[in-house]
Amino acid sequence: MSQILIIEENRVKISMPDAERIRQVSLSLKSVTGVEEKSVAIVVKAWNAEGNSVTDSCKGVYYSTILGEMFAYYPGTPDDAYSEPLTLEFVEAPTEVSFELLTWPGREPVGKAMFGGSALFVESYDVASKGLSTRNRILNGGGHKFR
Amino acid sequence: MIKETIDVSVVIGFSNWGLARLELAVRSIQASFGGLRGEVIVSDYGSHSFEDTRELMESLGARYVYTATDGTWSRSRALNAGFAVSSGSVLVSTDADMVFSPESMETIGSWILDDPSLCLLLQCRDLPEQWTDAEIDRVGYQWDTFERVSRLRPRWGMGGMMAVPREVFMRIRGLDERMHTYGGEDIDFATRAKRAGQRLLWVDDERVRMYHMWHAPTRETHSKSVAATNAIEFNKKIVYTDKTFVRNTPIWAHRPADAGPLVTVAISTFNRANFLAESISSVLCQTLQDFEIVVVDDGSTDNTRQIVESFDDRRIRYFFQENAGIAAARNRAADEARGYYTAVHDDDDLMTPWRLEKHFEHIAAGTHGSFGSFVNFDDSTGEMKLFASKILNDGTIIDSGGAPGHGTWLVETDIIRRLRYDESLSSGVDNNLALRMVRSGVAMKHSGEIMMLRRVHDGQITVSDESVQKTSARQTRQLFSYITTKWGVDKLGAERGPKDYVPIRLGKNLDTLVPFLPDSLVQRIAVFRGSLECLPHEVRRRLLERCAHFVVERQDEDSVVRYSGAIVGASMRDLALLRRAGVEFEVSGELIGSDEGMEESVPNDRAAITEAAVRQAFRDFVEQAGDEDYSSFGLVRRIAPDRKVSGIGWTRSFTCGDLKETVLFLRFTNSVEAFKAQIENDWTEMELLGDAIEPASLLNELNISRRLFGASL
Repeated sequence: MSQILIIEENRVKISMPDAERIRQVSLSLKSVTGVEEKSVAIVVKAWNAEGNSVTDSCKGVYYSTILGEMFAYYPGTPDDAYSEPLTLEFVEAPTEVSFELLTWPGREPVGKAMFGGSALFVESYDVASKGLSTRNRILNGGGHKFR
Repeated sequence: MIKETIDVSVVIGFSNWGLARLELAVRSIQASFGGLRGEVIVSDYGSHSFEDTRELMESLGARYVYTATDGTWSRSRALNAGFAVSSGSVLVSTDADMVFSPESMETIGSWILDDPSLCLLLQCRDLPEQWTDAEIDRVGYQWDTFERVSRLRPRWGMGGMMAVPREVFMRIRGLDERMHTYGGEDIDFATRAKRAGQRLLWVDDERVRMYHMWHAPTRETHSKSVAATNAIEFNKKIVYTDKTFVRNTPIWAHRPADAGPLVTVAISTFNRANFLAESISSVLCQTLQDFEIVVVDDGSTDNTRQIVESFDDRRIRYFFQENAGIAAARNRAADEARGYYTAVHDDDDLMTPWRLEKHFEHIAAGTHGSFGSFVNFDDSTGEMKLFASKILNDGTIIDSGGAPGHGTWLVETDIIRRLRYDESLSSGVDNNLALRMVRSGVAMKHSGEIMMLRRVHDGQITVSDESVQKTSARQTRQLFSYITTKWGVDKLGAERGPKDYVPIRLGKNLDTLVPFLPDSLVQRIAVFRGSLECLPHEVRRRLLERCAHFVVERQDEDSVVRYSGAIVGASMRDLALLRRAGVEFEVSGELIGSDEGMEESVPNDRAAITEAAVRQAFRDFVEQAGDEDYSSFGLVRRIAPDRKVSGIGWTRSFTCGDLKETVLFLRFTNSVEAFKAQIENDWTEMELLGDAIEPASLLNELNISRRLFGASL
């Protein structure tokens, strides 16, 4: 079975089975360290089943002319605790969503395996049910096996 | 046979309720058989620990039977499990908290042995609070005191004891196993016995007393739980709305070994070997499997015997006789029948798969049988045409002397044995019998179902012998000679009623019947799910080889729980095997030569097929494991195959070809507990059902726990 949660350094990708579409994702991070005085931005990307970007219509992300990307504000994490969830609603129901942590300014990748301590709450629906059958998953970055 | 040595069998349903009370109940019953030969059976339905109970019962000389359960209590099933091993002529049910006065069972048993038309009931007398099992155990049975201090329970109901002749229990197929927990199962049973012709009698005799040992009430505890409240409501619905009396159809799980078949399917045949195999297969495909098939071969010279024997099914009995005609063959079938009901089935026709089950949805008080409509199909093209049967009474039958399609009848076997087919007729024997049945007051209810697919072919009697049939109908109509008076005509008109016909389910949608046409006309796909373990290994292997795909679900990497798969091009014999194995299946079909691409509708993506199997199993888990204590359910994916859980769920592995996944099905009190378990165990992916998921709240709870208990969370 292919993995739904894929973590690569400072990037996490959620890739749903063919028969499902994402409605909403809530992302929580554990303490982000090594950033020091810099700010952090979360670059968000979403693709529909045809591979087209549907990020523009996502509620909770904004376009940054400087970054040239859609981004969400980093919620901030206290020490050794999970952050308040960053919740994004997807109007155009993607099958894949990715989050990338960058420092600002500088656009440098934040930390290593940053999402290893994350929790993602994913609400999706079954296509065959025409949206009526909702599924709720919790994806635990800590349990992710890096492959 | 042990059966001949036992007069009365008393069954007590039991589960984890304390042995002192049970022992007092058992001892009092054993002491009350008097001159009758009695046995007490304790049916333990799912106690967590049972060795002590077994030892105690064996030391008392009581019989003990244990049924493993998923934790759900069902008084109906517990009692049936006890009766399944009983051998008494009189069957008595009671509870573990009742003690019986010394002449009770002797009196109850004698009454029923003397008059088998009875169904006895007994209202219990409640002992006051000081008379607990501990107190009775300390001072012994104080019958005079009990009589003085007890109070007749002021409730309109069965009261705690019920006794019927064994034959009645068998005929109405025991207590209704759909019923959960407790509540209503005994009144339901007694009402059904009454509908089947028994006289109900509440025993009011000073020799028979049943005292209820005091204990803290359990009803309030049960009523507070959602699951038990729902169960009781479900039971009420059965009691209030289900007017039938034969239950546990299609499946009687706790069936006594000596129970005869509910139905005898009677097939009379003569040189129709080419059609007979499919005719028999259509019976074997019935949703109700509680039948035998009696094939009376009326002197065939073809390979009829070989065809029948090729089924290798003990439920099929074959009888050969020298050619004596259809009436004699049908009478022979009635004489050989062991079933309480007989379903008439012709050797060239096919039953719709629901036929036998549907009959029993329409047999209620005062009804001796039921019938339905049928569809003619062209044996070479599959073209179908509906023939709606009229309701049956002497008003509707008198018009033409014609009866509803004979191959749709199910009627008490004894009626056929007594009235018999007229062997002086060569044809139309069914109409003749129908007229005599109606005249005798036999009531047959129209089911509104299509019960039979009638094959139209050149060799039909109605084609080759049509004139004889018409003559026969005319002759039988003359039986009603009294219609020649005006009084008679008026009477028949009044009895006929305003409508001759009833609505026919699927009557306007005959295409749904295509999958049930013969193999030569249709291509089928059967999608099944269930255990095939009861099939012989070689048969199971061959069946699985015919699957386009199948998933094997195993428990703990070990024992097979079930298979799920799809057979493209399933034959009627394949369907019969699936039915025999007791698996659920859905069948779709199209006429051979039609343009629809059936095979394309079968998924061939193994990942999607496995996913569907996982999800169905998860639904099963939620249904079985949910109760008032557990309201959140986790499906954990992408785990190592050796991960096991105990207490809170199941470990299941699913294999489809070379694809394999192990999953956990877990139950939790709430979503917080589930989330914490996920983090603690490093489960990457968990799908949750049940409680609402509120990320902020869950994260907050986790942060609090981490502050309190450290980073292990």
